[in-house]
Amino acid sequence: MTAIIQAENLGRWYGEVVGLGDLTVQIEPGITGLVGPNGAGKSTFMKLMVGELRPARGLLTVLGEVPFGNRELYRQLGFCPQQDALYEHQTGRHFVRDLLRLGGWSRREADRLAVGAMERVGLEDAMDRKVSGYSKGMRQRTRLAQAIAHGPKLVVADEPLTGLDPIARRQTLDLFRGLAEDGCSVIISSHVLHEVESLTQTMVLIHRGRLLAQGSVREVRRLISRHPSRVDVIARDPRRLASALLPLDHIRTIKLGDDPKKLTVETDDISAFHRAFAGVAASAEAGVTGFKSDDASLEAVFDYLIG
Amino acid sequence: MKATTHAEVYRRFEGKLRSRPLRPLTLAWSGIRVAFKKKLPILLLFIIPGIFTIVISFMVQLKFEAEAGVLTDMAGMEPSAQTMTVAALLSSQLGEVESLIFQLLSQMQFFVVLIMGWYGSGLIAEDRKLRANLLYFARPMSRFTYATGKLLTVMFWGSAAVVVPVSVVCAVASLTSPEWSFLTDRWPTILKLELYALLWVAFHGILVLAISSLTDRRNRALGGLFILYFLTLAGAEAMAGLMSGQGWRLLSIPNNFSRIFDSLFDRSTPSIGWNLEASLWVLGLITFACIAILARQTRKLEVGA
Amino acid sequence: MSLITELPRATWLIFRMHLAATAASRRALSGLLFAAVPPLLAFLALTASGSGDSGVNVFMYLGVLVLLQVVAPALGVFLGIGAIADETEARTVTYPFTRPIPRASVFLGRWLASLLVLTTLLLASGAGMAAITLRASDPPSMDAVRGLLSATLIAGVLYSLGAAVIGVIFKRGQVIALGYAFAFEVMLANIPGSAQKLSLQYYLRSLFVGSENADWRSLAVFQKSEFLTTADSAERLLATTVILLVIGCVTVTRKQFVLSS
Repeated sequence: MTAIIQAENLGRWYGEVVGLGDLTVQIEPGITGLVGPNGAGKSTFMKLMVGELRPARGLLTVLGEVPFGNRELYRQLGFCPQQDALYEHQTGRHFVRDLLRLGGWSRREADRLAVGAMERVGLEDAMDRKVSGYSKGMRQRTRLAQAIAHGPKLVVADEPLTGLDPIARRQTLDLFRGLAEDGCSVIISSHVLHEVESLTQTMVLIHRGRLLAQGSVREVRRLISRHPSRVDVIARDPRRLASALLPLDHIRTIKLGDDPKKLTVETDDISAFHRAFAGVAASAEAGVTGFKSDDASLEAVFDYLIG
Repeated sequence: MKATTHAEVYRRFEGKLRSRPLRPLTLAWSGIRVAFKKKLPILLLFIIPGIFTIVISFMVQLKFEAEAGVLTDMAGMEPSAQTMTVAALLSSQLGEVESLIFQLLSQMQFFVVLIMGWYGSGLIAEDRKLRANLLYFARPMSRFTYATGKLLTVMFWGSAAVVVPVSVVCAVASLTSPEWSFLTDRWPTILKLELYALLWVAFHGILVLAISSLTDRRNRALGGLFILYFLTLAGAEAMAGLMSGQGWRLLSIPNNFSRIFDSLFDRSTPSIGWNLEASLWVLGLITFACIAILARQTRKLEVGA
Repeated sequence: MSLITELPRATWLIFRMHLAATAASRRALSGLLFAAVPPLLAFLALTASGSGDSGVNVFMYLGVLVLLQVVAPALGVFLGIGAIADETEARTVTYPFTRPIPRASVFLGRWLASLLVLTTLLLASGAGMAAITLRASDPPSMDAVRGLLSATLIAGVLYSLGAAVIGVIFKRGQVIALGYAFAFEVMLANIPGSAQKLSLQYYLRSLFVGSENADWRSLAVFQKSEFLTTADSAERLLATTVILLVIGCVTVTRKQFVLSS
């Protein structure tokens, strides 16, 4: 598959502050979550992708093109910036329409597309009001509308879920899924890890301007060998189950907690554990009623990698 | 737990604030520290006042050194004639040094407006833009403390541009004059110079803050200050020229300060023929208007409007 | 679409997008107050004082010292500086800069929107002053009115363009633009000698004073100066405008605007 983003030794700094250190990464089509703590370099990377900034070093191509000042690329690109800035004197509809007109659309066509985009982000009732009177969530959705209105091949959205209420968040996530189904690639950055995770399994983790990990969350989790995988098991007789599991080679620790029916198992090889567990549990007749492994979540991976 | 409802959303603070008279200094110091973080504007804004100060200090030193040379050459003269000549020379020399300091002061005045405008125009405007007023007044902090803190910040920069240079040149004059004669003979002049410089700084500080409080953009405040300043100056000059009446010059702030300067140092400027009270009234009215604007605008900031 | 066809189209769209907002901005409204000063002073000079000053004298004096030397540069800087600086300060520049248009069109479109507002204000100010003085005894000639108004409008173009360029280059360009307009220009323009030629005011004054215009030469401020012919000064001012336009367009095309989130 051809990468939509290719960065090689990409660096960008602001005076003495490093925005992005030395980033080499390839992003494939589809939905990709760009995650990392504050100051990791996510926004800088996105600003480089959309040509708002130029790299200080290294090479970056977006859809095969160098982005800075590239007018042809901008026809295929939609950017939803993080900053809460709009042309306050305009209505939401006119804001989206006028930006579409800059892309070469006729007035009528631009208006039709603007209305469509505003409907798609759920602002059809408010689109004829001035944006200065919009709530934070409505402003966020207006920014999103201008990014998707022209049917781009790639949407880059910087923290698009910030400021949205739970319903709007769900709608926005559905919107991204819809865009992906239509063949549009989406790159979103977010701090709300479980929501990004519910949207995509493909992540790019950045920390201190460098690539920390890339790929699906489970693949990345598997690569973090220094942290054993953790599984919580609920059983009628957890002590018997613990003694049956203990001889397995890959088991590192078994903890019996305050809950008399729960035990927590740490294993170095989660796949081997999964294969062996059913047999061991059956032979021990421990009465297993629950089985949960949540340390392969994005949040856990994030913690392990940065921690 | 007993269920209660709280329908009242805003209540005036009715507790008693602890008296902390030095609180404005904390606010001022934080404003000064923020400005110190950017070195380039400091360099650009202070380079010309700095050069002026060095040049005038050097000239003052040269004058006194040259005089010391004349005194050495006159060693063979009769004591009575020598004493008289030295006294006359010293007097004229001190007068010339005073003129140099006056020159420094008059040349520095517009740089002071520029510097105070640069550092002061954002002090309240930026707070409005960033809604920092909500944090300040939630301390709780009185409007007076807030305005005084901001005024001290802007006055710090104004003083750095005019009070400090005048002090430096006076110090050089005192140190290089024979037996500290500049300090001992002319101390009233030194005091008046410092007083005048402080008056200039305080007045412009209040003006800058009043303009800053009217907008939430620093650039607009700065532009407004300059336009107001130069428009009144040019308008007053043009009208005075047209109508052969010096009274129009009262509209211009620098002309009123020139009048105060003339009175303080017994000088006279031909184009400024009105009496001192008129200038004091004009400057007083402007100050009153600025304080009224500040009071109104800070009241708005206090209630988060 | 090629740059040649795209630039005017995008410039027009940006101009349209921002014209209403610029005209209704607080900046323009404050400008209106400043623009009212020359007619007001003319009215006061002719009526309130009862001095019976001649219309031509009032027109020339206020026209040069207030309208051309203060109001035009002040409003030019005040309105022109925001062309790109306002967009970067409001952090909206991202939107036009990520559209398939030449970046220069954003600069040109926004500057032209502010220029239209500016020229309207200056024209109203100059015309108001002329209307008042034309009704007085010994009114100014229409040539004098036309000359001064043209110079004022050209001053508006140049100062606003210069300020817009400074606003593109420097983050806090207003102080530089104001410093230039009021410290550098005013000082140089009013010192007799060749140093005057370093100021825009000299060329603007040359436009209407010319070398043999007796009316204008009666003003004390012009008596010690030698001026260029109207054609020569127009040529130099045009060249300055073109240079400023090129600098503005090239800088905005190449520059990265770092916006805070």
